[in-house]
Amino acid sequence: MSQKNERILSYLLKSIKYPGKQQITSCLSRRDTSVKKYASFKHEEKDLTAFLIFSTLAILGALLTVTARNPIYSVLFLAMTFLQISGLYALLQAEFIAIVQIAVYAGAIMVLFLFVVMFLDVKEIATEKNFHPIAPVCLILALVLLGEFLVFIFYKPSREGGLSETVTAVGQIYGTAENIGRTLFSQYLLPFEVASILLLMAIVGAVVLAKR
Amino acid sequence: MPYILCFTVNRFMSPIPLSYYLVVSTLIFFIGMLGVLTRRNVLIILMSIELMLNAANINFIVFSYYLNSLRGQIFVFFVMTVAAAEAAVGLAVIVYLFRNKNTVNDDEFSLMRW
Amino acid sequence: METMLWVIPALPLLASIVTILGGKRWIREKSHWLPCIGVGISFLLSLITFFQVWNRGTLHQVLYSWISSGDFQVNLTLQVDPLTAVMVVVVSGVSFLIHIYSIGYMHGDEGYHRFFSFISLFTFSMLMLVLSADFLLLYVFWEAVGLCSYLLIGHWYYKKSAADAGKKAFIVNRVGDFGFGLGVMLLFTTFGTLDYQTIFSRSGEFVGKTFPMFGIEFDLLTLTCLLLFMGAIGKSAQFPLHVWLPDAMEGPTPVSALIHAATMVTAGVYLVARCYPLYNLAPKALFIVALIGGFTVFFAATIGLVQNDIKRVLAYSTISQLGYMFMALGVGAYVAAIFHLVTHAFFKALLFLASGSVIHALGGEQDMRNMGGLKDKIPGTYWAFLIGALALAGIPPLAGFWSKDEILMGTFKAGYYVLWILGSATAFMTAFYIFRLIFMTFFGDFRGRHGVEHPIHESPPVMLYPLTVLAILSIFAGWMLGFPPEHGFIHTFLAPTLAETQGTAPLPETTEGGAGLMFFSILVAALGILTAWMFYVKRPEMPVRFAETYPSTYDWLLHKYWFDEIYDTLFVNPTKQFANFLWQGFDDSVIDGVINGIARGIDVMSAKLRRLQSGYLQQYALSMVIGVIVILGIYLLIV
Repeated sequence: MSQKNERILSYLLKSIKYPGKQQITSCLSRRDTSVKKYASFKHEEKDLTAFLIFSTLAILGALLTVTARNPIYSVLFLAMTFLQISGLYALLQAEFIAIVQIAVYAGAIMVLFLFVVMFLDVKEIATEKNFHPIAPVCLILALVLLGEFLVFIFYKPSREGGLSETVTAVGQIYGTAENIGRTLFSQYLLPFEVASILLLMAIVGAVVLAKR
Repeated sequence: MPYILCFTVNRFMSPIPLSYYLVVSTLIFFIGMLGVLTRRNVLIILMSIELMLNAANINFIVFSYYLNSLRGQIFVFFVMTVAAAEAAVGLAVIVYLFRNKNTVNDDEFSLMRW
Repeated sequence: METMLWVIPALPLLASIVTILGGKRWIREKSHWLPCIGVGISFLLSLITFFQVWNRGTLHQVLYSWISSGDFQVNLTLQVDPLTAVMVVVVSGVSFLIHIYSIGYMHGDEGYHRFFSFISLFTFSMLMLVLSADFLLLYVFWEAVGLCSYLLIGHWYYKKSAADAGKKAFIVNRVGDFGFGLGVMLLFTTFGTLDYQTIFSRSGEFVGKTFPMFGIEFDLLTLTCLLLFMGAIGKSAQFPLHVWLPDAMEGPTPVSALIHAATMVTAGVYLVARCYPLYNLAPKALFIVALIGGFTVFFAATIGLVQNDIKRVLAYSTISQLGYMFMALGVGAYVAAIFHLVTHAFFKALLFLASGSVIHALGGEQDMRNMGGLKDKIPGTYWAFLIGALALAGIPPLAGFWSKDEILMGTFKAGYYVLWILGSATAFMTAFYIFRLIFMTFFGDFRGRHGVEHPIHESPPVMLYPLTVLAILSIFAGWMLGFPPEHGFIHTFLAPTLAETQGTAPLPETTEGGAGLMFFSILVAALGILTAWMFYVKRPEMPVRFAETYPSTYDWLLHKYWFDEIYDTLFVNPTKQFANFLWQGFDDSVIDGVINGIARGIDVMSAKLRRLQSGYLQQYALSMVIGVIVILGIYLLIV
């Protein structure tokens, strides 16, 4: 193990000792069990297992969404992906967002997609060629960009002391409905209202476009 | 590379590292991007865009977690609002296009042209 | 009054602006009111200023700081010293009279408002020219009067000859003004300022200094003076830049009277007189001034002998008289030059206005061969003309005699005997050609056809009043200002500014021989008149015989020594050819070719490039991805 990692780990461990976290109790909290000594790593293990399952399924779902011939399958795989992502949110103590993800994405938006797919002539679409002829080029380019991103994630921060090293204490914040609501209706009241106007306009726009 | 070693050796010693989440979100983002670039069906392109948006959302939530700030989650909330609006309008546009051209193949739509 | 100096030029300017803006639509045939009133009040204020200067000495007014850039400071400063006071009174006075005269002369002209606006603008510019207290302002208004001259010569712009004459005047003046501009710059680099007082008071420090140019060391002051004199040559139509003035007669006659006889052309004389402290330190330059003046005197008069156009005779006479002034300046008789400037302004304006009256009476006829016998038909004009002619010829006690005699006397005393002989010979010729004009116009039988159609009529009173005033001035101004010779009013008045530094070119104070010289010049003038009478009244066939006997001489004179033709072949045509080459050979092919080529290249390139604009959204998205790859790659590599 390199010294760099040791440093980061000590950072993270230090952060665990942050006072006040003992009071925070949550169904998703795993910190209280893993404090100081690594006595009960069952939660950690569980977390990691959950993370692996969620992320693998999410990536798989995304791949299938993009590659599926039939749009109906695409929609269903996409819904699955969203559900997995919701699980990731839950792991990250963002319970409200996780619920909203299920309700809005996996629920409302996906139903809308399904509805439109069924509304259009699915069979005709399914028989057509699915990919552009330039798809290989796109794949290569996308891989190049992916490589750049990975370099960015793994190499850059350790070189510059960015990302993880700035972290002092993790997981102090719980995205409960109460917390989110408090923030949303105090600090972010104006954006919230603006968002409502946006939704209204979207409704009107959709109606106008689809009516003709 | 050291990070991956870190994962195998110390997996029980720490919370899941930030970069794991980042890798996941990056992968989802790239799959979405590939979908946008390569698929011909406009519906699937729209779905791929939703994928990309979700990848971004994961990043927001992860950083919210690691930076101890609710701001990221609030942001995700707004992104979802926008995504809902976008999906509604986007699908309406697709329906409209389908009625006009009787296809959802994006090769047929080259209106943004000289 | 001291702080109100700016009103003098401001009034004509205001009148000009209002007239040009509102003239065409609202003021129309009442266009003369504002300029006349404005210039009239200016004239009264000038008189007041004149008496103030007489009593109290130089007036000075700083209006505001015009240019302030580092060391370069130009204040808009007005200054009235005795020299300026004389000029201001002459300019505003003659201008006022000519404004009045123009009411009658220009009546019914379609450019009535334009004419009055421009002539008022000219008055403003000329007043500013003489009022300015530094060289930059002088230069600016030097160009401004040139502009007004151009505008007014081309008043009847639809006549090609008038438009050409305007252009010619402007371009020939450019040649001189080029030198003038260089002179001003040289002054600035030498003295670091353009202010009169500073330059003149410090000019002594630079005696003997040299200035390298083209690898030759020129005497600094001589060079400066010669460059300034170049401007004077152009503006005052001296040899070899005299060619524009006769052509300028294409303009309306009041313009010829005001600009090309009384005021603007004397700006060169004013300039040299203004810079006399510099010239005094540069005797070589003074010598050249005298030389060019003396030559022009004789040269222009000989051409004037044979011209048939009534205004052209007067134009050559003007050149010749201006030559007298430069001759006087050159020999150091500054006061005599200014004196002659004043009297000349009066009698030459009178002559021009009277000739305008003749032309007006004949409905535009200018050729003297088609005139004759007008003495009884337009007696008022005749008398005015006669007085002007006598004044010009130098018959005492009229104005021209005193001033011209003083110049000749000054030349004689300064030892320039050749110039004196030239001047005296010219005095004879002057008397001859002006009385030739009188005899051809007013005596004998009427040779034109004009009277048959509608009777020849005397000019309206509004034209005759200015003639009367100028005639009175021509009679009295000479001895009122300049008697006794060299100790008259004008001498004492100008003494503080002009006389005190005549150190290097002193005039002997003796008046010995003065009476003899005076008598001689009267004799010469009388002889000239007598000869003219012999030629054109007693035996009208003589001039023809003369021309037949010496055809080559006559041709030379009639064609003004072929100067126009020489300049055409030497300068005008090569320039035209060069310009044509630049136009067709260079501009049309090279410049246009480059520009069209660039345009065509862009056209071709964009035809190719617009294929990129396929309209397929995914291709656009792909290009965005490529952009992100590149930017991120650069970021990763560099940062």
